[in-house]
Amino acid sequence: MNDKTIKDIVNREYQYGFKTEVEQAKTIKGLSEETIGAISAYKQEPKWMLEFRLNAFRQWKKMTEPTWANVHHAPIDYQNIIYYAEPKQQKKKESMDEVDPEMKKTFEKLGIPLMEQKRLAGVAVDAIFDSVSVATTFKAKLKEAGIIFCPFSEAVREYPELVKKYIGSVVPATDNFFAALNSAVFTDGSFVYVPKNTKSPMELSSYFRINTEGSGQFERTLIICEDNSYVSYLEGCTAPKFDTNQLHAAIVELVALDHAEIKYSTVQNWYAGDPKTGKGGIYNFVTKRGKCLGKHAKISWTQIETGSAITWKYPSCLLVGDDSIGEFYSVALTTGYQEADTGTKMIHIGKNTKSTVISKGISAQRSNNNYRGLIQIGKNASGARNFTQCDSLLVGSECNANTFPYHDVQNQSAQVEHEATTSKISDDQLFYFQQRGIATEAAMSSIINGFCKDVFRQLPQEFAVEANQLMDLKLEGSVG
Amino acid sequence: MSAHQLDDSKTYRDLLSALKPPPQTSWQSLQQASLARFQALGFPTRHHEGWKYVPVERILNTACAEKLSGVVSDKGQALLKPYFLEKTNFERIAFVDGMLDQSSSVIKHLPAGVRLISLAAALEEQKDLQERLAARLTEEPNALAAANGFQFQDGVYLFVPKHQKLTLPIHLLIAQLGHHGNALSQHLRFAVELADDAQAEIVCDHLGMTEQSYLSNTVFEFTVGRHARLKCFNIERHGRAAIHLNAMRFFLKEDARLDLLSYSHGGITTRNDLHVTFEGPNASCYLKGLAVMNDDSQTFQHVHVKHQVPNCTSRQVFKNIAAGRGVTEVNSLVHMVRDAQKSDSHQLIRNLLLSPAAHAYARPQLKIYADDVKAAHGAATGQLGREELFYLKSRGLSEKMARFVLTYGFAEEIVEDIPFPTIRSQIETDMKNEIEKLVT
Repeated sequence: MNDKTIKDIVNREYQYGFKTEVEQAKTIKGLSEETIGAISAYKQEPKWMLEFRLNAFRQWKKMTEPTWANVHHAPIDYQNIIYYAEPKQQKKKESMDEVDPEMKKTFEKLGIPLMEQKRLAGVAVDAIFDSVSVATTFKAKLKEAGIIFCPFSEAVREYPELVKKYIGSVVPATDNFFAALNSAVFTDGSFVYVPKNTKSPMELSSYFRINTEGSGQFERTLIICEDNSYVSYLEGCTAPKFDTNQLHAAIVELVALDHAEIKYSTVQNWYAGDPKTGKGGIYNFVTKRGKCLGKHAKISWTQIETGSAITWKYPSCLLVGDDSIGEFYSVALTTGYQEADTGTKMIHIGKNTKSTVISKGISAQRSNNNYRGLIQIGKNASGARNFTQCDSLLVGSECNANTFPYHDVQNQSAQVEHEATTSKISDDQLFYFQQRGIATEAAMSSIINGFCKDVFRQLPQEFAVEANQLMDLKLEGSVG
Repeated sequence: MSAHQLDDSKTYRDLLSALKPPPQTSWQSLQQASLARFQALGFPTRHHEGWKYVPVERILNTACAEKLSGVVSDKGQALLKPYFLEKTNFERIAFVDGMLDQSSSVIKHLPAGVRLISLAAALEEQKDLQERLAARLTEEPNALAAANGFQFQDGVYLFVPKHQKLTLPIHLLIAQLGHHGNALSQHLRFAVELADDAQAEIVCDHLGMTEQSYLSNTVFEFTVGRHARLKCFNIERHGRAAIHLNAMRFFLKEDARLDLLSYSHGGITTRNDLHVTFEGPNASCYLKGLAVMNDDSQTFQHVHVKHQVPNCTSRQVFKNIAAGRGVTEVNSLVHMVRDAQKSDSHQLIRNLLLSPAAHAYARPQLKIYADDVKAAHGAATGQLGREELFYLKSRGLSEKMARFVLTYGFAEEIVEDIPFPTIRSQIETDMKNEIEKLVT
């Protein structure tokens, strides 16, 4: 790999670094019981929801920010964050024509399929533009199937019993520092409920986007799959370019009951800060967890991480029900000064539970890429099985790749296997491509796509295409 | 000092006063350096990542116990005799209950220039040795290994000069016979320096002949010079109530080679800190370990291989058999710094669980800061393979016999590498008896 080629291609700008000017009505900055009360009031929430938030806030005040992750950032001033930002236009739109043209332009630039829906048939989009949903489609079709897919705040008002039953049941408000913060101040998010014996007729998709400078995003997603049901949920992110760091502390909770299956896919491409100086970018501290509560339940996480200045997340599975299955497929690409500490936790509680972890880390330029994963086999989890494979690829001599697996096996009948390798793209491979007349960059791209193939294969088709494009785009800026 | 007193509000100062400062010695500067290091690190608690699973309360209870010391009786001598390995020719230095036991030690033939003396004597003689040991302490990550620096009673200093090869392997016998009623502790320190192109074989034989509770805190520091070869065997056979903290530090210069084999059995808590640092290019290390746990026995292997320079190779295989309520932890980190290009490392951890209450922790970690390297690791935890058992049973072996054969085979892969027939056969007999109990 020659240095010149690296330098030539490194200097590519973040292509989604634009900013849409949409008027915003902001609440005051700062975190207090008053702020939380104001958010709750804006959302017209019932009293129990406010209690939930305040309780989380009181717990949060007692907690200290964790420091164990292998990432580095300036201290976060929690009083200097806008906890609620809502576009001024709040009237619900029936058709796309009514949507703010500026906003539509943003979506087009991002390639969010609001306009492409006709082409990408079968994708319902609940686009969240700075905390408030602006358009929800295919609702009728989903409703016909009995599926509820709506903004979280709407679910709190319309389906309080469901929300009350499951909120915090997977990620308790006191789970960790950032989960507590989210539980106190979350603004909106998505809510999905799939009733018994229902297979979602389409892939559900929601696009998150951070827009107002200095506004933290505290999304909350809750997906419940009743017995014998199935849903596939897609989440994708891009964000405009800003200099000040933005905190994103989301919570995703999944609940799968008997024979239910949830497939949760993420393609993440948030602004990672200036690749030359490391300035700016998003802090993505997310708690994602699924609970296989029922027998034979299955939860599958797939993530393509290419963005964020700092990523700190561990999509996890609690395998409570007997014979339940947890899966984690991940590609984490870090370039510039990006730092990622990501992985999964597979907690085997029920009998004959199985989990698979495939993690591919690609580290380029001056970035820091960590895999951290826990496989825990509980005392009663007889017959549990796990297979973990985490491979790292180093591109350039100034990056690093670390692997921190934790195995905790308390049952003798368990079978836990872990294998990992760290290496660079071999000169032999490159030479092979080159002597066939393929340029270095194209060769690199092919090799890296091959390296990630096991994960890409798990993505729904629309996303697989997007992921491939995203990797190529990112690689152009970081591989030589 | 009792277990419930160990909480966050307790500072190490309180603990220090309980640790009883040593009497006047001639290695004050080493003691000061180690005390400073211990103070900087503080007494470990379960909040420290490296001590998460280790019952530190238990260590604390014995850390300030009375130091062992005693005169070896004829009866004691008789007990030890089978472990003198007389069939193989060895140089032997024996420590019994924390004291150098002249009557059990034999020096047969040392090549010219080789020094094999007590560490206390060496420190008195050579001020620069004290400085060298003190300098290493500034990087010591383990507080209790640092504490050994001001607590140690004695030990051994071995120096092998340039181009010299030890004629006979050295047998360091560290035995506990135990006598009086109270909890006891011993603190020994060993320093080995192989000059360029030197060769040595060393057996560190930890032996517990008593069911009484005791703490053994041993620290070994090996400096292996350019082109030098070191073969080291760490054999731990402890009494059921023993607590053993064993820190082994290896510093390898250019083109040096280390072969380490570690065997642990018995003891309620055993912690082995095996650290290898490559200080010169083209060096290599081969680490192998086996631990057999039964009843309440717990073994914690903390391995840290630091590739600081280019072109070094490290290989690790650690196997554990846990039965009863046994706990095994292997926490192994391979760290390759930015300059360690062309490094090659491989780690393998295999845990065999034989009972419902046995517990295995495996952490094969990689920290890679160089791009042109190869680093691989694997870990597997499970029970005996059903198909393998079926195969053996289909050949007419009983269930018990089949389980025995498979378990023994799992362990033998490590033990068969011990080149000294007496120790190997002792360990094999030990293992056979133990595995027979484990598989029923």
